[in-house]
Amino acid sequence: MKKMGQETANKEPIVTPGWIIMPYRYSVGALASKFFVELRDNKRIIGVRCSECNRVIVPPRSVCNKCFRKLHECVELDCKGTLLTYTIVHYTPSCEWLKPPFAYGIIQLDGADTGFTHVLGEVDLDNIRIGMRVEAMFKDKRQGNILDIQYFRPLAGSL
Amino acid sequence: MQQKTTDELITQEMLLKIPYRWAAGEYVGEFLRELRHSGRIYANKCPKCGRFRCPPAPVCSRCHTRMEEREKWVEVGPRGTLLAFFVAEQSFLVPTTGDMLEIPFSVGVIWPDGAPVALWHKLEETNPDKIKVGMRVEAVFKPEEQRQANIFDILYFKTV
Amino acid sequence: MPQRVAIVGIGQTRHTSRRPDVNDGELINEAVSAALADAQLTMKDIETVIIGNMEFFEGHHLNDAMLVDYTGARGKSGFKMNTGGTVGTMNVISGWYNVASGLFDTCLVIGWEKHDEAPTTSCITTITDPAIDRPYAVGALSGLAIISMNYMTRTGCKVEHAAMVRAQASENASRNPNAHVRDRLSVEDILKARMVVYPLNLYFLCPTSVGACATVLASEVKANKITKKPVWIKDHVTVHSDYSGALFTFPGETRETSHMVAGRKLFQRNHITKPIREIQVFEMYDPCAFVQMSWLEDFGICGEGEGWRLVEKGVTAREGEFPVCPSGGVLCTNAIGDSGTLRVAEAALQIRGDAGEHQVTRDVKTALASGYGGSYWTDLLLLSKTLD
Repeated sequence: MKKMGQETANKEPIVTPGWIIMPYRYSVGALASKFFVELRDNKRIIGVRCSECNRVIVPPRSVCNKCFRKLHECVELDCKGTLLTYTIVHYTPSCEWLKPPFAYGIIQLDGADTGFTHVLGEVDLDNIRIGMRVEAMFKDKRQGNILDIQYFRPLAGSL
Repeated sequence: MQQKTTDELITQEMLLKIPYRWAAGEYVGEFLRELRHSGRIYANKCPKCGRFRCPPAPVCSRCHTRMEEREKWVEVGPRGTLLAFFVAEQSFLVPTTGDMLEIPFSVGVIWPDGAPVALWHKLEETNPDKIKVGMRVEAVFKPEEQRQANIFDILYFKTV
Repeated sequence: MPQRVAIVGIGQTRHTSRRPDVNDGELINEAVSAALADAQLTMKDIETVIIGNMEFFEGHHLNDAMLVDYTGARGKSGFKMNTGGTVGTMNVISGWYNVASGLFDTCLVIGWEKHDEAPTTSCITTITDPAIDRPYAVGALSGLAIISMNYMTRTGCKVEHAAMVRAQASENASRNPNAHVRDRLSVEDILKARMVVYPLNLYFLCPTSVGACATVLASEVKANKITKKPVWIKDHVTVHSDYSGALFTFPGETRETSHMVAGRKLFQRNHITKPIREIQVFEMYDPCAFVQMSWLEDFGICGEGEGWRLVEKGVTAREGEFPVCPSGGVLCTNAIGDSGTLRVAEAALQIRGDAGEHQVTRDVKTALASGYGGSYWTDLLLLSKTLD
């Protein structure tokens, strides 16, 4: 008797193309709402302090990841910081909104104890250095999301 | 910094839109090919315990015996008996297209003549008062030149 | 021999339609804080963390990583469960394995869901086979409609019986401050509701809720030191269906659903011959009014065709001989990832005598909790006040 493998060996496989299309609404929570409102309305970056660990976390989270205490104390941070690490993206995944090549990195804002991930702009991709000083550049039209900061650019004199 | 209270709660909207390509596989692929090529619906039968599967499957989930023989495929339908049905009267987002479901949308669980299996498919009739468990239905296929080896090669089941 | 495991702490959030004031992690943290407080423990006392929800429902894949700050899992053992409607009960069962193995003495179990973030029914549609069934599924509603219609055809159950189930659930939920839909509904109110997926109208179906539930599990060695009222997870069974046979028995075949196998196995193993007499409460995973009746039969609480008769006679009411879902059940509160964990938590509260206004009137020594969902398997757990 003919087995399936023999029967289908020369037939073209059937592949169904399709989509998963789903709209989402993500509530950022009361504390993070303050962060996004400050970005949008005042071009200010705020973090939250854990007095137990003596650390400032940005973007702010309502529970300390080290000591598990609830956090409330908001702190305004400078929009300047130091680049801790970075990468340069050379390909276009289907969901990416930036044209490659582009760089993004983790920045330690002055006064913060955590990294802040964002895109780097106005920068020579061949001349990015770890330790470089950078500053946040805000968009003119802001909406209350992380892209209200358009990118971080090198501080004058830091190249 | 003085802690300010803000009443505004931020909710961010985003859209997930991911393309996929799903391989039907050897058995379901052959089932779909038969829909296109011959306008026939097939089931296969376990050589050991006799349990049928539609669409055909490679292994019997009851006795774990392989169901590899192509000649053991059995044609079922095109007529059948309605075992159960539902009619959607509220619309929902269809994740495969991003469009809203056109309502009323009725689907039957159909026992096609020829083997004790159950197939889900669209019913032509959408008025629940005119649909009865136990009623006879028949598959309506697309014309051959329009068939594409997918489940829509059967347009719907009509009341007989 | 596995170590014996008890529930020593229980916490849940209130359940509601929307919580724009919290993100996923903050929601979870409310339940975690409540469970730790109930157990009088801190995060330092927890050795392993199990967390589960419905993948995709909040728009994040593998969301447990971003939740670590809020679950307290940093540096600890544990894993994420992702098993559809059963995830809630699987969270607890997975926690049981962690502790029963002897490797850990304490485990935090978290179930949660934030349904206000995505179109739930659309997400659930994606569990189906994309080539064959997906175009004909309407989330979980289509499967529940089919099961309900089949139950009515097989047993003569009427829509009025489903309305009685829902009315009873609403009475129970009105006494449960953490339940979501708490309005008291009459049979007439329920029958007049708008049709969603025929034959299921709005009230025959569960809501979509936002909420979280956490429980702390402990080994026998620790449990008695932590609390005076440990609730023992005496036994549990998980049984799978095959995809094609999950919702429907093929014509000519004898019905043998995963619920039937689970009930049989669990009761045989525990020498329970008359569960309706020997067990005092059942927090059943009941996403639809018809299935509550059908699944009483399938689990073996009563014979085929008798489920709706039990409801008619008031046996399953809070003050009845076999109360079902005194919390209001999934019919009144359904944050899917949390629902199964909540069934175990609510059954445990009944055993402890801590269910407040929705406490059943009988003295509870043993209770059942179940889970089911689009993963097409059944979880059934037996909880007990004492170890014997």
